[in-house]
Parts: sequence; C-alpha cells; structure tokens
Amino acid sequence: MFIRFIGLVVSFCLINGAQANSMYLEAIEEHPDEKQLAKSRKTILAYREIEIRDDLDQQLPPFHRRPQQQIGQGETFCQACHLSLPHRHSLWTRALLNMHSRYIACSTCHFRPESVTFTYRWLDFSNGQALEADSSRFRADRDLDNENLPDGNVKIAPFWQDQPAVPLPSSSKAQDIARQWRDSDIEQKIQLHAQLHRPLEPQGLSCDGCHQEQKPLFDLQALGADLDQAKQIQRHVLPQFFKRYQNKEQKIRILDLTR
Amino acid sequence: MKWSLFFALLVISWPLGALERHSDPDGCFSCHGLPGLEYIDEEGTRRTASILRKDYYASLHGSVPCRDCHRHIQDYPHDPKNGYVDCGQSCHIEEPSQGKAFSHRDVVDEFEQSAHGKGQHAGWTKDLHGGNRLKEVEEQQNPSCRRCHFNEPYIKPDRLPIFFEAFGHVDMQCGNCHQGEVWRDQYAGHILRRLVGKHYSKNEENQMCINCHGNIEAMNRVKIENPEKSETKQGTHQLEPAGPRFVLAAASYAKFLHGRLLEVGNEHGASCLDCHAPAGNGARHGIMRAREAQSSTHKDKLPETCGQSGCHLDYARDSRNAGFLKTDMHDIAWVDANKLRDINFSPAAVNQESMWFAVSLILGPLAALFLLGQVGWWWWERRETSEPLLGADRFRRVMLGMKLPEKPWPWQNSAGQDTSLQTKPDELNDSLIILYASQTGNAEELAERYFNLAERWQLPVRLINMAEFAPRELVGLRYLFVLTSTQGEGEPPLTAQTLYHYLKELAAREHATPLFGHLHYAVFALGDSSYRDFCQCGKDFDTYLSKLGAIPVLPRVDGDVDYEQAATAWMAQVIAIYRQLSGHEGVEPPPEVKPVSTGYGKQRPYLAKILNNTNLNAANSSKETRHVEIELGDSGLIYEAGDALGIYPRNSGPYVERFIRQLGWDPGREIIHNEERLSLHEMLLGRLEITTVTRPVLEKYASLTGNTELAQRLTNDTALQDYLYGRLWLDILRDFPPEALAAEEVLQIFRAIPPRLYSISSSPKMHPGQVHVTVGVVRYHAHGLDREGVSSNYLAQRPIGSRIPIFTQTNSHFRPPKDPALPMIMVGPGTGVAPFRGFVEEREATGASGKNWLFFGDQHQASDFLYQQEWEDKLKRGVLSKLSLAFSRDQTERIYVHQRMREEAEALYALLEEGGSFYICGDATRMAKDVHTALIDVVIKASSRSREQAVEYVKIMEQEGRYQRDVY
Repeated sequence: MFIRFIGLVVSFCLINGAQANSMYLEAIEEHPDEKQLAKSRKTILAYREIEIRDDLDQQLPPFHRRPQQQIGQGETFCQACHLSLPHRHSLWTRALLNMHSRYIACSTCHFRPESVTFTYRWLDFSNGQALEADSSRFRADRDLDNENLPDGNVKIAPFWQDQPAVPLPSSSKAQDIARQWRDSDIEQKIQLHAQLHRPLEPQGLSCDGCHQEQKPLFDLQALGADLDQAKQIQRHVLPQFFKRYQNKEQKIRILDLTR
Repeated sequence: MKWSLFFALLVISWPLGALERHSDPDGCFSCHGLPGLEYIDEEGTRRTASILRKDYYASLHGSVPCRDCHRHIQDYPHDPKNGYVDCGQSCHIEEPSQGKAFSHRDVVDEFEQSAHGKGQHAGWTKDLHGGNRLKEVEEQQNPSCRRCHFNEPYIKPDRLPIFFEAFGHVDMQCGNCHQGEVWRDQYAGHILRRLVGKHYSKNEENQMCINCHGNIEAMNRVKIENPEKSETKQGTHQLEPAGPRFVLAAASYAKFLHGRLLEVGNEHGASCLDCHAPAGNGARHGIMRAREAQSSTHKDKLPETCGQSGCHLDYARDSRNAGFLKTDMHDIAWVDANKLRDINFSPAAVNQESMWFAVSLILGPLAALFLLGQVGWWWWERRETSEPLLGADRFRRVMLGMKLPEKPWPWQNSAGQDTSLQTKPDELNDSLIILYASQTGNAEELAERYFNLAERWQLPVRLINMAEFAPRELVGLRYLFVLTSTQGEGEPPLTAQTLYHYLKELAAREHATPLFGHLHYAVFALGDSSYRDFCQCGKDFDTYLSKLGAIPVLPRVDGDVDYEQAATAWMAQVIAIYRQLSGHEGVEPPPEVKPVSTGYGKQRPYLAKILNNTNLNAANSSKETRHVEIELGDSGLIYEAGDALGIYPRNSGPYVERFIRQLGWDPGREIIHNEERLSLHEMLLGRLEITTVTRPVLEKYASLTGNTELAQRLTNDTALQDYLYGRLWLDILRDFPPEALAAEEVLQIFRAIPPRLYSISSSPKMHPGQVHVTVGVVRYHAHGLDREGVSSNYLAQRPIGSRIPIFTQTNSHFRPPKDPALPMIMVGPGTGVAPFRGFVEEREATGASGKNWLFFGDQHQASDFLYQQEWEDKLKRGVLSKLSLAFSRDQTERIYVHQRMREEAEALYALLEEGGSFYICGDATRMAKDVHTALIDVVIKASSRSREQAVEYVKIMEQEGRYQRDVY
C-alpha cells in the first residue's frame, strides 16, 4: 500500500515536474485573513466600471503629436484585469509607473514574499521563454527618439527555481482563475480578489528600490546593461527628485527640483 | 555671412536641426521627453504625457518654450488647471516683421466675433488642456482653436526641398543688396516659410470645415440663436435647430461648381473660406451668418466677395449682372435624396418653446391649403414653359449651359433616387474622339489609322493621347472611342494612369452617380491572351464608364496579338455607328489604294544577319543567356536606347515533328491557311502558334471538338489555370484528341505566331548599324517532357551569319533622363539589365555628366554576372558611378536587389532629391513589386516621411517621368 502511494507521488511529480506551480500560485492557496477580506470588499464595492474612450484621438486629435497606441490588454497575469496602463490613481506617479510597466513585470514590484529570494531575468511573455542578458533592451545612454516604444512583451520578471514566479496569463491556471472570476457573484468575487491580492504589496517598490547603487533589487549588469548604463539608471536624476518629497500632498517648484 | 546662413538653416530645417531650436529652458522634456508616459484618467480617456521631441522641435511651436503656453505650471505634481492654454496670449517669440512679442490675439479677437466664437456655445480659445477634450467633443457644438489646428510641422516635409532651394536663391540673389543677419533671419526665412511652406491648399482648407459640417448627424444637433426671437431671462436669445440648409451645407457645396472644380483638383473653385472669410478681409477666422451686415456673404457684400481678386472680378462688381449674385450656392434641392433623409425633421428636434412652433398649429391648415394651390400651380407650369429672368435655374441653364430636368411632381422625387446629376450640358462636343493609351506603340499606331480613316470620311475627328487628356474633359464630350493596351499584370499603360484612376475612384464610390449619361463610348482593348489578365485595362475602362452612366454603343473588342482583322472590323463599325448617332453623314471615301510599303516594320520584317551570338553565363551555370548582335544593314530600321526589337521566331523542328506524329498527320500534305498554300510541316514550323495555350483558342478547340470534359474545365478559371500550368498544345491534343477532325479544321483555330519583343541592349550611337539583344533561354521540364521557350531557343540556335526576321518597336516611355546632368538609378536583375546596357552606352556616347548607378543581381557571381567585364570597365572609367550587386545564392541567406536598395537608402534618396530618375526592368510578378515597395521604404527611411507621403512622393516621380518601368 505504502509502495503504491510512493509510486503515485513519483509519477505525479514526473508528470507535473515541468509544469510545477509557480510561487504565486502556491501563495494564493492560503486563505486570506479578515483584514484582507475587508479591504477587498471595500475595493470591489467601490469599483465603478469606466468606459475606456480610446476613440477620442480620432474625434479631436491631440494638439501635440504623440506616440499612437491603443490601450491593450497588457501582457502579464495581473494586466488581464488591470490592463496595460494599470496605475491610475496617483497624480504623482501614474504616468511614470505605467512607463515602467512596459519593461518591468507587475510582480517585480508587487510580489515580494519575505522569506524568498528571487532571481530576476528577462521574460518574453508572448511565449514564456526566459531570455539571455541583452544590453540592447536598455535605453539608458542611448539617444533614442521617444517615439520608439518597447512593445511590452519582454519584461524583467522574478524567477523562482527557474520558473517565472507568477504564471503567464495564457497558462491553464490563469485561464481557470479568469473563468472563475467571470462566473462569480459579488461575494465570490470579494473572496477571490482577497485570495489573489493577499500575497501582493499594493504600494509596490519605491523608486530607490532599483535606482540605487548600494543594494538594488536586481543586478542590471546581469541583465545585460553595461557598466555605464547601469550607473546611469541607478543614479537617474528623476528618482533623486522624488526622494525629496516627504509626503504625497507636497508640491515642489520645478525650478527647485532642478537645483 | 556663412555662419548666419548656417544658423538660419539650422533653425528652420527638419529634422536636421530639430533638436536645436531652443534649449527647453524649463527642463520639461526631462520628463515629457520620456517614452510611454500614459495613464487612463477618471473619464476613461487615455492621456499621454510623452511629447514626441523630434516632432515638437520641428513644429510650428517648436521655438516656443512650453511654459509660454502652459504658463502657470510651476510645481510638480502639476495642478491640471495650471496647464490650461490661452491661444490669445503672447509668448516670448518675436514676430519677425514687427519685432513684437508674438500673439494670436488678432485671430482670437476676430474669431470671438464670428459665428463660431460668440453666443451661448462659443468655441473655446482658452482653458484648453488635455483633460477637457472629451468635454469639448461631447458638449461643444462650436469649434475651439484645436478642432481645426494642431501643432503641425513648421514646413511640411514634402515642401522642404522647395524651401531650401528658394532659401538658397534668396541668399544668393537678394543677399546682394539685403545683407546682414536681420534680413536673413527675420525676413528671408520667415517670409519664405509663409510663401513656400503655405500650409493649406483649398481642399485642405475645406477639409477643416467638412470635418464638422460634413457630419450630418452632428450638424443635426446644432442649435443656433435667432436674434429675431425675444431674449430669455438669462439675457440670451432663444436657440433653435439650425435647419436643413445649414445641416447640408457641405453636401450642397459639393454639388456646385466651386466644390466640383476643387474635387477634380482645379484651384479655380472657391473654397469655403474664399466666400465666408475671404483673404484680405481679416485673419480668415471671421465667419459670420449671412444675415449679419459685416458678413462677407451678406447680400450687400456679395459683389465684393464674388468679385474678389482671382474670382469673378469684373463680372460680379458690375451692377448689370446683379442676377448672377442671386445664385444659391447651397441649394439643397440638388443634394442626394438619401442625405435629406438623414435630417431630423421630427418635432423633438424643433424648439417647442418657439413662437413658430405654437403658431404652426394655426399655420398647418393654411399650409395644407397652400400645398393644394401649389399642386395646381405645378400642373399649370408644366402645361406651358415658363422662363424665369433671374435665379439659380436661369444661371444653370443659360450661363453653365446645363439642361435642367423637367420639374418633377412631388411624388416622382422618390427616396433613394439621386436627383443631383440629372443634368446634361446642352453644348457637347460631338466630334469623334479617338483616345488612346499605348505601351509599346500598337494602340497608338491603330489610333492613327482610325483617325486617318475618319478624316478621309470628312468627319469631325480628334486624336488624343491619354497622357494629354484631362479627365474633366469627359463632361463635355458626346462620342468617345478608347483604344488601350494593358501592361504588367493587368495594369494600365503609364499614359493612362491619370484617367484610369480618376474613373476607378469615381466608379468605386458606394453610390456612383451617373456623371457621364451624355457620353456614348466604345472600347478596343489590346492585349496578349497568353497572359492571365488579358486586356484587363480595356475591360476596366469599359466597366468604369458603364458604371458611371456612359452608354456603350459597341460591344468591347479584346484584340489579341493578331488583332489586325478585329481592328479593321471595329474601325468600320466605329465610323458607321458615329455617323448614325451624331448625324454627321460625312462623305464616303473612294476605296483606299494601299501604297506598296517600302519600309520595314512589324508588317514587313527585315531579314537581318546575326553578327555574334554568345552565351553570357559560365559553363557551370544553370542558366543560359544569349548576347545576340544583329546587323541592321540597309534596312533603314532605326531605334533609340530603351526601344524594343521584335523578332518573328519559328517553332522548334523536333516539337513540330512530335506534333505531327502524335496526330498522325501527313507532314507533306499541302494546306491552305489564310490564303497561303504551304506544306503542313512548314505551316506548323513558321506560321502558327502551336505551343502556348490561350483561353480564346482553347474555347474554339472545345467548341470544334465538342469535348464536354474540356468545356467543363473552361467553366472553372482557377482549375483551368492549374491544369494549363506548364502544358503546351501538344499536351492538350494528347489529353483531348481531335479524333476524326481533319488537319485543316484543327489548324484554322490557331493564331499566327506573334513576334516576340526584347529590350534592346545597345545604343545606336555606340554601335552604329547594329542592334543587340540579351535573351534568357527558357528550358524546363514539365509533365514528363523537356520544354523550350520558342523564341529564346530559336535565337540561341541561330548560327553567326544566319538571318532572322526583325523590326524595331518604339518604347517612348522608357528613356534615359532628358537632362544629361541628372542622375540615373537602374534596377535590372537578370536579363532586366539589357536596356540599361543601352542606357549607359547612350550616356557614355553622348558625354552625359549625370551619375549612373546600377543595381544588378542574379544567382551566382561566378557564373551569372552578365556583362561583368563591361560593367567593371565602365566602373573603372567612371562611366558607371556605382554598381550594387546582389547574388542570391552565393550565401545561405538569399539576398536580392531590393535589399541592397534598402541598405543604400540615404545615398539613393539623395540622388532622387537631386532630380534623379529611377528605372526598373525585369520580372513583373515579384521583382518589380519588391523593388517598388523598397523604393517607398527608402523614401520613408531617408526622409522621415510617413508611408502615405512616401507613396505620394513616388507617385509624383512617376508623373514627372522620373520613375519608369519596363517589366514583363
């Protein structure tokens, strides 16, 4: 009997070995606590659907010419719900953070379990392949026209045991969750929302989590940046400006920022 | 002097100097220059904070620091309202001609007095920011500044070359007297931009208006103040729906002469602004309602407005012509009935608080009584022709020469019927118009014969080359006879492009109007039935004209390579039908005595001696390309570089023998065919085309044999093409034997062997008395047998000293640049290089100084580099300026000439900008298309034009004769 059980376990591992659950999927197995449930209830009940008006540019073109792109679904598991421009509320940072969403996976900033050390690699979300280090993916130190946007498919993402820490939106588990969300009533949605967001940090990482030289979240040179590019990103002037803010209500004169 | 010129060019050029126009003193681009700064705002709209740096610096506002417009922004995060822009405020830029701070104040002041800028829904000129664009779209009926204007390029990219040229001229010529930086920076550059960089053509001006006024649904929602109504408690006038004349303003404009002239590109038409905000009458923003005394369309101002310079100057200002000014330019009676249906006449659209609405209850019954009277009046009016002295009907009938439709009964004007174009000009040109478009000269030669015949009949006749025919002339013609060939894959000849695309576009409209109901026409199409798109251009002309209401008076004739008989018959029919329809009887000419032709040509080929016949490929090549030199002797045949040589080939002996053997015929039997008596063997060898299978001949054969399976195959074109691929007549006769049919019966279906045309690969100036051709020998294996191209193998096997029947064929659309100093870029892979050998020889022989750049490609450099020594020698001597090579199979990755073009984009574009001509010769199916696409890509890459602009650039090259193709 015991041998049969061991045999079952071994064969299960062999079958599923290549598709081991991601770190995130394991993390959402735990039940959310009351605090998280209350928070999710508040979020879900306060949520109001907004009709995305992506046709405005056709009706009244913007005065200054800008990159033309439609609002897409995004590439990551999180973006399946939060879309490609997920940061919406903070007047302060929303545009800059959405810019980062093109090359930094949501999980890099928002999924950081205390007891786990991730490795960070380039992940091609279109096919789930981890990519080799490549300096051409860094724009720093290159005089690129700002019309050239990264397409968003390739982002820096956390890996755990050589697997992406968060599943791809095309994975069967992600599809199951999406289906479950669609078929849920409001109470079930609150439960699911709490479960999905429990392991996440809503505030994400501050600018100096990465833009610093002492102990940045990941090694830029291991991702392909050359020494100059890495230094330029770590010493970037904008994060230094932002460090001057004591709170989110504070306003600083732009001229003072440049001093 | 030089430094200031450099500075001026730097400031105004784009994109070279785009980053230098100002230094971003407030550091805004530290953030706004980043890519992908975006978010979705509370309204659900996508907001973009990234501003394209390059476009901004090259824009009209590129010299204006951001804070000059967004002047209250001082903090981060920005308070949105601090970004609000007031277009009327001044900025730190000096107006060059006055030295004062620049401002749009004058324009704004004028706009605020206009119909768009005052009243309860005045268009915004301030408080403009990204966050209220949605509000403007959803709530504002009047336009703000940004509805019509955006931050455009300072000079449109396609006008930059003209600007630089003019700037150079100003500096060199005007600078003799006007010296100093002030003149150059403040006047020369500025004024030139205003002149050369003129932003809006009349059609572009109109488009601004049509963007709103062309939207009937939006215009239906517009409410306007009626100053005759009492004021409301708020001190404003009552609003009421604008009414159908307003709603249909753009549609009615499009139906009148002004709109129609502009539609066909004639700038004599008046644009919306020409009438509603004329030049010299302010800043062209003061559009007012006609009832206002200051309005340019007020009845008292019409003599001045219609009589402005460039319009009806003397006529409109003469008081004796006052009736002319009463023409209603927005008469909605001429608008498509289906547009009228879109107008909201429902009570909900009517202002129910208006006095008119209340009174309508009383007026209603009175109106019914009036309508009854009107019906009576209509009946009376139709009994006797009335002649109004003034008004639009008289204007149209007397001055425009239009025949007005009979006034319909109200119920005759059914919905869906287009009533707008039921007019026919009274005075049409009723000459016999022969309009031709020729690619290799056949259509032109035929057209001339028709013209001569019509002249001999003493009929009024005109012969017109389609290249010189303005499409709008169609409205004035009554009888049109079109002769056109087809080139490439069913495309129109170069000379037909303008008319072809004009008709195509008109016919493609969803509700194509019968513009040409007055026109009687017939089409003779020329082609080669061995091509799938046989006579396609003629077919298209027939379709388009018919769709646009023109009346076909003869069925279209599709003339094959042996078109003589069909052409003669058509010629007689044309004369007969024209005499019958036009009433011009003419005088029957005496039978023409054909003079005995002394010259050699297509009908009388010259037997020319072969002087040289060599293989240009190495022995190990999979290809064989013959260089054949032919003596012209005393033939009198002449040619120019770019022309073609016609050769009458003979079928291969072994093929003919197999043919006779398969059918079991007697080779020595004498046959009479087309009044010629020959042995069967000789007939098949030298007279009939018995290899290539064409659909018309196959149809005849199916009918002759009564073979049902073959007839069935002919019903499915795709399956038929698949079946015919690689098959010759030998295969057809094997698959579908003629059974008991006699040889005479079978042979009568075949067409005569057509001559083959080859691009001449020599210049007569370099090789007097000789003509050279470069011929790729066609050999392949299909359906179990080795096959040969008839003509190429015939030529390949002709020994030196033997004679072949030839003639020269003019190809006037394929010539080296007329100006010997201008560059020439040639793309000719494989045997496509042939005419370019002639071109370069011609330029060498005439001492032309222009650059010559050749793109050549083939499979392997070692074995397939045609004329390698000659090209290398020419390159060494500087006759050839540049040689770009692409040998596809010398490496793993296939490389073709179009890739080489892309690699050389900047250099290639630079030559085009110098006025260079671009030529392609060779395969039409793939190579020519790839090279065409690459040419557009080159323009995009090297000039930063959009794809649309690059396509236009190439189109202009084509129209200027600087982009020529000889593809097959």
